[in-house]
Amino acid sequence: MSNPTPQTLEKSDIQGLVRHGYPYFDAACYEYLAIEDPVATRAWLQRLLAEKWIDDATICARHLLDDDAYKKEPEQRCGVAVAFTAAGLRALGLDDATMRTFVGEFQEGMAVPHRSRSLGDVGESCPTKWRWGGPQNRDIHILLVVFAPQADLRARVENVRDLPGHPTVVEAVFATRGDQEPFGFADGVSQPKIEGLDGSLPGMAGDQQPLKAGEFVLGYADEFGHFPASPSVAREGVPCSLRYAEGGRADLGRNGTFLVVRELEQDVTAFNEFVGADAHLAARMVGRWRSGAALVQHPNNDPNPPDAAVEREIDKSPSARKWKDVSTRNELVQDNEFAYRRDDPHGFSCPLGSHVRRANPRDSLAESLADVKAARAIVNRHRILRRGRRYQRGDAQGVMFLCLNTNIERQFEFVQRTWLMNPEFHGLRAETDPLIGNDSAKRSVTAQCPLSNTSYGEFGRFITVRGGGYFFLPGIAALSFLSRDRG
Amino acid sequence: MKQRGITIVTEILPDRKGDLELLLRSSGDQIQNGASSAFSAVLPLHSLSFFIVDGVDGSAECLVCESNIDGSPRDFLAQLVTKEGPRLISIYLHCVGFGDSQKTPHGMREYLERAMVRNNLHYVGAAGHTTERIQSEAAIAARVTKIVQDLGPPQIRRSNYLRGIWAALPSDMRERVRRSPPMSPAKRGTKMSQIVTFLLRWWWRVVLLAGCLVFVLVALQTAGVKLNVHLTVPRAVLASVFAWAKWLSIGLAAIIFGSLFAYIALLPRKATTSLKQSWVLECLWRTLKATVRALPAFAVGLGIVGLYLWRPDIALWALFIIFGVPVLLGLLYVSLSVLHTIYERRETFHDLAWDPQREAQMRAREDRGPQNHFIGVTTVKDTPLRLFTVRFVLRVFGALIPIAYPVGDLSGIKSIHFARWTLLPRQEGTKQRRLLFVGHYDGSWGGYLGDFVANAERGMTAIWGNTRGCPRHTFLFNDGVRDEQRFKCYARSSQVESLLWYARDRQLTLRTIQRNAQICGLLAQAAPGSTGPICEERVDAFMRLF
Repeated sequence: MSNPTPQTLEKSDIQGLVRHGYPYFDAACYEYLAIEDPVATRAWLQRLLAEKWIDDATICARHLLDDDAYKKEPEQRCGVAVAFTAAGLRALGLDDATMRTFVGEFQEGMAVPHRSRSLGDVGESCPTKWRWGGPQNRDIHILLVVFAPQADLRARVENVRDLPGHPTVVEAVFATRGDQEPFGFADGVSQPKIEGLDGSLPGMAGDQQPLKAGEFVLGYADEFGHFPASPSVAREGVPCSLRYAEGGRADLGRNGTFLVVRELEQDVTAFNEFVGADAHLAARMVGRWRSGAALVQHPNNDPNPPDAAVEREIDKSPSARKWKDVSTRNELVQDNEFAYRRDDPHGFSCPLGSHVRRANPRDSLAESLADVKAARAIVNRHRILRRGRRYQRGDAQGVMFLCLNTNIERQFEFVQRTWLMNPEFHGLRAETDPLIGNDSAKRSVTAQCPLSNTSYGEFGRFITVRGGGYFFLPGIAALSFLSRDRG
Repeated sequence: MKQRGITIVTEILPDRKGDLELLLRSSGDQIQNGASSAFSAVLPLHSLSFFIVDGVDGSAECLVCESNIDGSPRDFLAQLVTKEGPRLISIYLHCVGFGDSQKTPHGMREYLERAMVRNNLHYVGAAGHTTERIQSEAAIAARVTKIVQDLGPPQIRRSNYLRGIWAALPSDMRERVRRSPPMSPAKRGTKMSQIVTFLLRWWWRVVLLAGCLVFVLVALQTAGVKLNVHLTVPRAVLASVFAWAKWLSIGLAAIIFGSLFAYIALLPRKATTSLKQSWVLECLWRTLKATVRALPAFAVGLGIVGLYLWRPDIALWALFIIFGVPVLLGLLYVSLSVLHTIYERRETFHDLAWDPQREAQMRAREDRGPQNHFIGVTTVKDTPLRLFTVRFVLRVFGALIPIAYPVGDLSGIKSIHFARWTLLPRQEGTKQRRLLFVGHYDGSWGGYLGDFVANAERGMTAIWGNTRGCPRHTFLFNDGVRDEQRFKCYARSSQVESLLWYARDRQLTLRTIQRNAQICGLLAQAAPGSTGPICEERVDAFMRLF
């Protein structure tokens, strides 16, 4: 049962991070916080809300650069998002009955043994070796993300920390741009659109129709016309603007979503040593050239100049309503209008096991052209909204992977487990994702060729998980509820 | 040799559940940790598991043993009790009716046979693949992979490439490849068979149009309206023919359809259509299917004959076949679905609470290898209609699945090794019936159930929608399982822990089994004396497997 009419989203109740990853603030800080004094923390949350630190989704990215439209004091000119772990919600005073209404994955967290096994967090990526979020680490309660211009970031972070009641900082990670990851590949080229919350942002020019809001925001119908399970609280004594849910309860999840965070440390030296000067091999592992051009459409060479930097700037003409990707010399080609089954069914251009083909197979899993629509419909049930950025911690660098989804098990975990870490994905044999695979020290990647497949290897692990967790990113009204004092 | 599913249900003696659970868990842990098991010596055995189903309304707990085997259950049980007698004795000593006389191999086999329960639906992913064949093909595929790596990619004359591999194979493997059944997944029918397939796919559209035409003609004739003049000449010609031999058209139809049946029956055996192993059964089965498919076309022919002979009774029979049977079936469906929808609306559905301890307990044994195992026991809702619907739907699906879906591909799901639905026997002291589901699948639990939701949600809804806790469905096939999050919660809450699970080919996915079969099948074409040339497309298809 699909929902044919577009749903009207309550944008003023949705945190701005759902709408965009603040692409025009070129720096960010991820603070992992622990609550020591719940009363003070609630007061801090109230202040964040009252002083409008947290944007809602009505603020579109262009406003962030437009001082008049943004209407924020200079010291507040930044984007802030707040999310909570299950432990954090308990620390804030939610009772067991309420906590039980959250989905199991969120309650359990990312670091339980069976989940680690399923997600491939083993060996060096095992949660016992994580910097944060692991069983031996201090409990993380809150994730606070601050986006700001590079020059102002530390000042903005200090501004937020100066607010009374700021929880204890367990970890703080500073990140830079979100459009190029440490291996040198353009990141975030392809993102799903959300029906009713679209905006002409970079990477949104996809070949797919917008997805139903329920795939990414709780309280709305998903691609199958069902409402994803949403947490709720007893209605009695809840004087707030939360909507009614079934059974005389109030919907705590509405306009919120679940945020998956993973700190992925990248071994740039090992990757560069393996691929050497062979840009084609690197592109085959990823499925795109470093500039973001699709291998399906440009199988032999990168259409963009080798030194083209991925710079994004706004088209400032009043009539223009979309962002434009430009390079320093000419426009970057970052095609997104392609289909694997139609354009490259055997993987001769873009290998079947390449990273982007695994992460979003589009129509690739269709048996025939007649099955393309059905295959796409299935893939659309497993999309995620990425909001990650590149970070640097001393010598270590990587990507702070953030993604939004309403059903962690069906979306993030499925993609990770069934596509990225599946040794037999698409008929392959014993090879996981060439970038994030972690299954063996002797890995390889197969490039399909008309006469005979070519196997490249052996290589080890390029990416190590250093931390991770599942967070609940509430709507503004739910945040307001969480910030209230409880008798 | 056909693969079968055996389900053995025995009641557990009072107060013995704890001991039995400990015993089974201990054995299960050993197998899970890689200890060798005598089960591997039981050749027909693909997989076997033991689990305990709690009693309802005070009835006794049951021990269930489910296994998937090759060939006859009796032969399998004879081997099982011989090879694993002591273990079985120690297990079944905890069960009702197991005494000293059952401790002999013969007595134990009879005891197990008596406790066997009929499966309402048993699905086999790798139909026709015996344990011996699976292991043999895996060994051959591994060897061929090594040879391909040593030989490197094919050069200019690719057609010689397969022969080179064939020559490099050890003689015993060559013999096994020769003897292996014709490979199926990569095989394509002839052009003629493709045409027939195309026609069969479009038959209902043709029939519908023809039926409408007959209906209009009969109506016109009945109303006394003269037919168009252009139809007069052929009508006159045919009428004169029918005057000479009025059943000629039926005879012609019989000849045409008979030829069609024979042709279909003699088509190259496609693994995509049937599970029947015997050639005679295969032909009979195909003829039956073709007859059912051709019935509407036959009715149209009958209608035309009736019309030309001006025999309204014949035409009416034709109309009944064309429209009456579907209408009756439609009425049956409408009645069932409306009744179900009314029942569903009367019921109150609550979101099931997530139980962290249960989740952790069930997950402890999951995702430890390519192949996994799920057992679910649900209670059929109380009304007799629900039980009837479950039985009816499972019966219909059992008949349709082999016809409608290719082997190893259940409505787009290609990860199921075995699946079964079994209505457990009604126990003393309760009126409730419980539905057992056991699935052996590749990948994760979430992915497996997600496949059900994405690809087979209507079928699953028609089955599980009649059980307690499944999300609300409408019109028998809609919603229900499609509500993925709640369905998974329901599945988890109905899950029963598998205390002992043995699977012979646990490291092999269904896709790998099929791929190994393809390698052997394509290689068999390179055998000296095999018919037909080795075309380069086949060499390409072969190379894509590596």
